[in-house]
Amino acid sequence: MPQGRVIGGLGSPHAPSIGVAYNTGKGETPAWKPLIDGYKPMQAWLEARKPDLMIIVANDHANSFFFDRYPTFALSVAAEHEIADEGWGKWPLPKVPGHSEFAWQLAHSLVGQEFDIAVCQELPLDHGCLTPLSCFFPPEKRWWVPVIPIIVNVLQPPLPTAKRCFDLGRAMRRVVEAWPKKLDVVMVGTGGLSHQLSGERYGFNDTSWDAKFLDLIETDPGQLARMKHQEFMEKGGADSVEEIMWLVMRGALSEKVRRVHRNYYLPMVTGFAQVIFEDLGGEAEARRAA
Amino acid sequence: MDARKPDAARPKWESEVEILPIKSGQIDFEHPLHGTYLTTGSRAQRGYRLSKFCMAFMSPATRAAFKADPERVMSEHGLSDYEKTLIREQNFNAMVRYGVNAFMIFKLANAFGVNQNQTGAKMRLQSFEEFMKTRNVKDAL
Repeated sequence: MPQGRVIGGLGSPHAPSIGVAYNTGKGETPAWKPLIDGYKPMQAWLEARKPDLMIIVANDHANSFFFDRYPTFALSVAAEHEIADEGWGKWPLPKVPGHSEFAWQLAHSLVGQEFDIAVCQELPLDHGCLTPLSCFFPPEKRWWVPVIPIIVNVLQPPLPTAKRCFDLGRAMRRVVEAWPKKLDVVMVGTGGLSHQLSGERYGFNDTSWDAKFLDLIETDPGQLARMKHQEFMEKGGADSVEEIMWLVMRGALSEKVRRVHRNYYLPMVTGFAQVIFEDLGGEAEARRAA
Repeated sequence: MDARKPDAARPKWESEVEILPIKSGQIDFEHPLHGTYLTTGSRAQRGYRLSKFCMAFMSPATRAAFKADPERVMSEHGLSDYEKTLIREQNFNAMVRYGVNAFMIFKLANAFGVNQNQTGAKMRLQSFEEFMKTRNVKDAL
């Protein structure tokens, strides 16, 4: 009898400045407190709900992948993950445990559902995963939840469509719900809201669009899934197109969700947002109850 | 800065190539967003060698060698004279337009002791001080 379930989804920025601020004890400074405090409810939620697995959707920033060979979607089946040297030394973090057993099933079942994802046996992690993970797990708690990283191309068009990302999340839910053992899974969507990190438009933001995005990802993600990359880039800056990674997380959740946390902060160049969505159960749970 | 507003101050750059003729249902390449240079198509191919050079800075050995003798490291990587000039001048604005993704440029900029937002100010063709006046929280670096 299948026992896996998705218990909720977290949304988090992944800018390296946040990870550095948290890991160097700047969480109480006026500049960082409004954001770092937003991780406290997330830490408490994880402690209370005790997930067996975290599936984190992020992009690589030219550290594990270069444009010589660039996958649209990739997942790691590795038992543990090295810390990448992004060009200024490795962050002093322990290796991040994976979940090979479920990851291989996920790979087979996703490709079986025609999501042709690249499978990685080695995947050093960069700030895309390590900033949110650092902030979810304080130093004395690293890392008590195994992690499966899902990497999405948001750097070199053609990028996967918003709808494809949303559908990938839905496909992942089906795999979780078919798992025969107890497996409480928390999904994580990462990335900034409005931001652009190159060209004369560097530093573009739109706080009202960011607020709208946060409303839609909660209540009407299908509307976001119908948006073209052009619209994301116009509304939120070229690099805000990485919001499609939040759609993978949201796609894995029940149609309606219970929001128990939402925070937003725009200090420098990126709109930072944090959310916790609790899953309200799906067909599998209804079947089980019947 | 409005995305669709033409920028009269935008400098002309004679070797700029467009991404055309890609037809995409997702991105309107015929009407690029102001101040935005996506890494794809002919631009991505033009910027590939310089991008690959930036990747070498993930190695501590390259970082040390570049610090000691940047000209030697650039020559070893077979960079063109134009590419070397972009690096010598730390012309991050032109690198973006040439076809190098920002995350690769940040690796190179770091070798000059230039951080992400200083790099960004140069991409905007502004001084760092001017750029910082447009930000909400000055200490959140």
